[in-house]
Amino acid sequence: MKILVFNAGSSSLKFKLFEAEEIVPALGERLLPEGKSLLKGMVENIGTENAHLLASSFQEQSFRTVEAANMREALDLVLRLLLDDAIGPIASLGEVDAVGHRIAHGGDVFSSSVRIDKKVIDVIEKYSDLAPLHNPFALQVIERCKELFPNALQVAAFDTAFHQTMPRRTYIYPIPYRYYEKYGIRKFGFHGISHKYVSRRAADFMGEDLRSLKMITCHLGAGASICAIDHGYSMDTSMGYTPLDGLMMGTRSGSVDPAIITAIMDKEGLTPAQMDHILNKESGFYGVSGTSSDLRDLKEVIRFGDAQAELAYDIFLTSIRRLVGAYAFELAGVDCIVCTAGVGENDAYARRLIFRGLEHFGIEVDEERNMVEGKGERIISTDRAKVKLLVIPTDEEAEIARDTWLVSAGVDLSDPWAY
Amino acid sequence: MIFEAMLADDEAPARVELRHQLEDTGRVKVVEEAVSFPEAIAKLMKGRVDVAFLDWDIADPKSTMLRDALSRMDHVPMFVLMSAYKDYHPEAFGIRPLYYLPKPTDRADLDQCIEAIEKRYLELLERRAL
Repeated sequence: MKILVFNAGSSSLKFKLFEAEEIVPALGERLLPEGKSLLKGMVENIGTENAHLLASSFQEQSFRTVEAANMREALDLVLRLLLDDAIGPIASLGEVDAVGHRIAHGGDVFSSSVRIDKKVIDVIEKYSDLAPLHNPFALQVIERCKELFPNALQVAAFDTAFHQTMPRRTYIYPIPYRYYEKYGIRKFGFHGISHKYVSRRAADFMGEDLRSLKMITCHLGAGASICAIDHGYSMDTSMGYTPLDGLMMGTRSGSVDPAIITAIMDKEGLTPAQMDHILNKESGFYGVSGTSSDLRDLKEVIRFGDAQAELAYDIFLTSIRRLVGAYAFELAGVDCIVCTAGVGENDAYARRLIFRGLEHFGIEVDEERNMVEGKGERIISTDRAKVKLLVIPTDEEAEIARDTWLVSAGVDLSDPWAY
Repeated sequence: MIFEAMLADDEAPARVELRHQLEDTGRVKVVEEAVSFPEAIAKLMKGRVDVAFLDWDIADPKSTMLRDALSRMDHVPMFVLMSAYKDYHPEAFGIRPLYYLPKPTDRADLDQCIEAIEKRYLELLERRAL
């Protein structure tokens, strides 16, 4: 069975084609074979002169500049690549059995991935306000896929769904309750597909049952969030009503004293949209360092003594430590902490600093294991440490493909015990 | 008949105290403990306890977690809800608790509670026999 996964942003379209074994999973069996990726890639900078297509298969990687004025053209490029005589893994679009779509915002309507129908499309549209850079573009891809793959099952996987198990005490904000009632202002949380994927993989890696573990998962990329997972249920997460909350990020501030926002608006005479831009696009690593939003660049200039870059790095690591600590208390203990995404997977130095000096709490990094360059799933804590520290490379597309596969097998994913 | 029980309460001293109180009666054996609502549910799904003593304060009444889990269980235990407060509404959970145990708990409360458990157990036994 072939499953195509799309992840659409405002100016990018990621895709991955999977070959999944055609086994209908037995109900109750949660360990399923992971699908195999045939071809993956992305179109970036859609709508600019700088658009390009990146692709990688088993054999080769390719990069070329392309013309893609909009999402539709980008999608057509991807399909041409999939059908390409030389590297295309399929001969006709009819070979694709199912298409999975990553949707940034499903509000409080969906607690799992679902088959796409009219009602689902309406909800995605409704939450476009809250995810203006993602939902509308995903809808464009869905509509086009309906035309191109008329017989394929289409499934929506939501970034917010995993966090729907949060209790009210964590998702209601301490502001007048009427704003929740009137506008639905509450914590939603994001990166749910990634947190769900790495928590399941981490349990498998340790040979334990996810339903017997307290876990904190740290998704540390250009966007970053942390999740407190109690016996498989997301109980709290650092992103909130929007992805702006929580950790410091590439260009996002993360949590700040809310009074700062009105104070700056007042002093500089800014509109809400301008302030929003400052917090989302001009803050974080970029705002503090003044040089780059990419941690790899910052580390480079830190080597040459750039104090602002070093400060940005320190604030970032502290914001992670603060929240991991808070969640360990919230969960009343933790068995396992997982690092994932760009920084979490690749920055051994950051991991060392985040977890250093915490022996008192049963947390101890094994220097050697931590420094080993590797791509795979691995443990980086010492054998005697009570809390296991793991690095689990995230694969949101694989998780979407898995959900798509399960939905195609007739499993009701909204029932957490069904699979 | 000694009933096997799960104790779910986020406060360790409260668990220790109730465990002693229950085991002192000689009619209940605590075989599982949980400190959070998700842990309680995960353990209920795995084990086969006769009765679950659930502290109301660790649960979220709006959550469907327990309802989802119960709908899949072959063996639904009896529930005793515990709370330090009076105004709680367990029907929101989707369960019908057998008994409400006030906190702190004294021996008279506990004896009444265990009587209720025994009565229900015998009823269930009779129903199955029929």
